[in-house]
Amino acid sequence: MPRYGMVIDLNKCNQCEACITACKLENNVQIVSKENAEMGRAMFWMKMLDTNYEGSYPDVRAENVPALCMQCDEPSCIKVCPVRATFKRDDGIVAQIYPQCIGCRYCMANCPYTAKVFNWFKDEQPVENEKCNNIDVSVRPKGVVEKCTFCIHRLQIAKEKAKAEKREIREEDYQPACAEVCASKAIYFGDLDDPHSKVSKAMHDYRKFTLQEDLGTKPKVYYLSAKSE
Amino acid sequence: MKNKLFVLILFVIGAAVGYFIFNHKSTSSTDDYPVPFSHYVHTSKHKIKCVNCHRGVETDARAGIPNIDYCSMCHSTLINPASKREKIIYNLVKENKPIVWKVHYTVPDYVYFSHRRHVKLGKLDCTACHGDMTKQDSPDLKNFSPIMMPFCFNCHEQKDITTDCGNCHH
Repeated sequence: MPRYGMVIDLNKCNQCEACITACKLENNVQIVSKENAEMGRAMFWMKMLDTNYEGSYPDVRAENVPALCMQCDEPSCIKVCPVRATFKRDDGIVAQIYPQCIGCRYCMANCPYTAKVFNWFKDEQPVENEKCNNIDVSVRPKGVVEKCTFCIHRLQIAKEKAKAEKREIREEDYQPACAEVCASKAIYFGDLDDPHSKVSKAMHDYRKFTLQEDLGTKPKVYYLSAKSE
Repeated sequence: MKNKLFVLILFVIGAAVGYFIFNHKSTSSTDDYPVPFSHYVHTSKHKIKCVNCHRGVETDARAGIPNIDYCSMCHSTLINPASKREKIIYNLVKENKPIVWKVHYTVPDYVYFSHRRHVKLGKLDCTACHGDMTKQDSPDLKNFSPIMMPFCFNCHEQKDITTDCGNCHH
C-alpha cells in the first residue's frame, strides 16, 4: 500500500500562487462575495502563510510558505469527529465524507495547521459558474467542513484506469492539481515509501522540516528550507 | 365575500390542474428528446452490445454516452430510407451537430459510483439496475430502479460487500 505525501521546495517556489488557484478551481471551492472576503471569510484549501521578509532593500527576499492540509499520520482532527466524517485511509490520505459531516467544527478547532474551512453560507457564485465546476468533485453544502484531500478524485480515476489496464498505478498517473500546475516544479508528490519516487528522494534532503514538528502529528507534507546553509 | 372565496378556490384548483398538466407533459413526453433513440432496434435487431456504445462500462467509472462522431460510423448513410426516426439522426450526422442526450441515471456529486467495479469485478448484469433495455423502443421515461442509497445497500448487504461510508461518499 503506498503512502502518499508531498515535499515543497521553498528554494524553488517563486510564490506565484498558481497552486492556490489550481486547487480552488479543481476542487470547486466556494467563491464567496466580495463583502465576505473582506471580512476574512474567503475559502482556500491551500493558502500562503504569512510572509517573512529577509534582508534589507534592495536585496529583499520574501519567504512564503504554501500551506495545505498536512495529511498527518497522527491526525488530531479525526480523533474529535463524533460522526467519523473525517478519517484516515490506508494510503495515508485523510479524507472527508461530506454527507456525514454535521458541522460541529471540532476538527477545525483541533487542527493545529488551520487547514480546514467551513461553509458558512450557501454557494454564492453565479449560476453560470456551475458549468465550470469539476464534475468529479462534489459541491459542498452549507454547514459542512472541508479541506484538502490530495485531490483524491484523481487517485480514484487513476486507480480505475490502472486496474482496467492491469498494471500498477504510476507516479505520473496521480498528481494533485497544485503539483501538476507548479511552474517551477517546487512541489513533489508521490509515494513516500517508494525509494525510487521523486518525492522520497526529495524527502531525504538535509533541508527537510515540517510545520510544528513538536506536536507529534507527523505531517506528510514536508518542506525544504529556502536557506542554503 | 362568498363570491371572492369561490373565485379564489377556483383559481387554486385551476393552478393545480395546470401545474399537473404541465408537469405531466414535461416528464412523460418524448417530444423534447433530441433523438427518439430506440434501444430495441440497436440491441435486439442489430445485435449491438451495450459496451459497444457505452464504452466506459468495463474500464471507467462512467459508462459514457456516444457522441455524434460515434453515431456517424453507422449513420453516415441511410440504412432504412423509409424510417422517419433514422432520418433525424442522419441529418444530425450530416450537420455534425452534437446530441444533447438526456441523462436519466445520475448519482449526486458526493457519490462515487464506478461502472467498472460493478460490471467487471462484481459481474453484475446491466439489467440489475437498468432493466431490460433491449425491449425499450422509445426513450426511457422512467428509471427502472430508484438510484437511492437503500437500493445500493440492499445489494451490498446481500452480497457481503463493504458498506463503509468512505467507500462511496466523498
